[in-house]
Amino acid sequence: MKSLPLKIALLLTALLLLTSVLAPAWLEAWATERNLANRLLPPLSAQHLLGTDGLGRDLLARLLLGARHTFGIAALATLIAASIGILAGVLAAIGPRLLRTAVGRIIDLTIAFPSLVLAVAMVAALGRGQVTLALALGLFNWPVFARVTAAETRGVLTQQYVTAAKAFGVTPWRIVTGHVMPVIAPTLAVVVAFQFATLLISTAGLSFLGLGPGLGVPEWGSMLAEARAEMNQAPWLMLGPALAIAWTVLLMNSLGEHVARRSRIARNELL
Amino acid sequence: MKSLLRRLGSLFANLTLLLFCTLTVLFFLVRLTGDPATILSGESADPAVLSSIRENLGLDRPLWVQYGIFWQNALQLDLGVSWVSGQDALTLALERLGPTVTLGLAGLLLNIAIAVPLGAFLGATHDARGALALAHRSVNSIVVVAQGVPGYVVALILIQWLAVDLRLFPSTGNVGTGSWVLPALTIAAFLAPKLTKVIAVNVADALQEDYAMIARSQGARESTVVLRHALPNAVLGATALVGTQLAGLVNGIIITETIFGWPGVGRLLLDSVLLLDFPVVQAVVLVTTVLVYLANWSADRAIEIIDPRLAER
Repeated sequence: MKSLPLKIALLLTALLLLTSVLAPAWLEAWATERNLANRLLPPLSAQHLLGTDGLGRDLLARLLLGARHTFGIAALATLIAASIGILAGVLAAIGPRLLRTAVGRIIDLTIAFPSLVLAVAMVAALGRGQVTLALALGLFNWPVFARVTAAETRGVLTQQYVTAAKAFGVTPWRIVTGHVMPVIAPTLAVVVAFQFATLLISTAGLSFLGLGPGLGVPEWGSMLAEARAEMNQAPWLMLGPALAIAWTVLLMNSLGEHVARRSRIARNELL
Repeated sequence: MKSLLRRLGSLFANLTLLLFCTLTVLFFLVRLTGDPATILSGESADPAVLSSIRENLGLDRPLWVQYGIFWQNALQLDLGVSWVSGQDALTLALERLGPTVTLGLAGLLLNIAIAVPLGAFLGATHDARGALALAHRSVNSIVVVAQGVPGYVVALILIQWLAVDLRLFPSTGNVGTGSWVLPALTIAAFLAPKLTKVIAVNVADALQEDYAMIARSQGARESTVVLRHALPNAVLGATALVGTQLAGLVNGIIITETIFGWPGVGRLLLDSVLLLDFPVVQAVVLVTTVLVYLANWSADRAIEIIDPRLAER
């Protein structure tokens, strides 16, 4: 399968990451500046390269600032899900017998759970905001990480060098950090990339439904919802946020494919 | 092969555990919001009204007592009444189940109808030359791009193109056969790219197997080898995806129902969330959880009957 060349994919990801972390104050000012005289300008207008939205705000600036929100929320959600999932996975593989069964069973039960249902309920309970959204998505999407970590860890634990390390009296914790993690890291990286893509779609999806960071925040999903309201007058407004979401998802997927190919991981096992 | 009785026993045990976890999470989630009494009575309510609401809902008692009462009621299938309409929350959720299940099935079937032929084509042509290779590359790029485009974006494009420009189908509500098309297509858009890819990989693998070689050596045409020998095995292999596809289906349905104003549980969930109507939110989450678990379980059993090898896993 053809995908983006690795160097370009990495460069684009770094750019997105930089924009989302360092988004300067002038970008914020530019993105929030309203001018009702200039509302719904088409793309390639003077001074507004991609046109303006219904409140006369510059679309390009809002899309760039949107990287901070959409990309940032999805990244935080992935971090939360990965931390819980990897920990649970390790416990399911090396913990005391009772804990192992309990964690294993919870993973089996929740892996096919429709996470968005609980995430929606949680956003309702905690109120809207960037951190709430990331928390809601992260807390209910860890089972994938847990299952992969547990399966891979069990595989490594049967290796002879692990048996040797155990014979030398290396503690289970040191075995995990020293022997298991380095071996399963590439697999986990692939899962992180693919889950990141999924969580980004969910982040923008929940914002699109009105459960995002809130009014006026240039998050790609809520920009899409705003564009929908202007669909009759300015159908092109949807293109910007839609392409931003699609591009970022494709970027993450192709990064995952690259890691998988380089470390010869069969992609199907991770689905 | 385990006996049916043991199977049912473990189904019951798992369902109990799942219900316990979900209800507990829900109980504490609702208590995180702060004081439901203020939500019910509005910001500027009389303190006397507030305390009478608290007393009515039992909110003045310690948390663990509330948790006990919550369970006592839940075991009697009483999840409280809607704070907005006063109707029984569980009844409300169950009433809206029909449209959701039928829409979900329609989307699922459409997903299979799109993904299986596409996947078979991609898998069969993955080392083709000439014109077929070109066709393979174009179809493949479409699938790769489709994987990046979320279902809700597809929905907006479909509405703009088929409902607004061409006026072929209505864009909201459930009125007549035409109104099924766009929501079902949207749900298929959430699911089809992944299924297509998995079937493509499976078909390509199956074509390298001994049974495919033998069929070819006996003079079977390549199309027969693909359709009769490789594809059935590839589809069976893809049944491992059932769990994630079901979860994706439910996630997709919530968004799809909201976009198209479809009168199902997904829209009920969103409406109740926006109104902070927590008893209904709880009922919807509960109903969805049980339904998805039962659907998963039945799918697993059905697959075992179709392919007894998988029962040994």
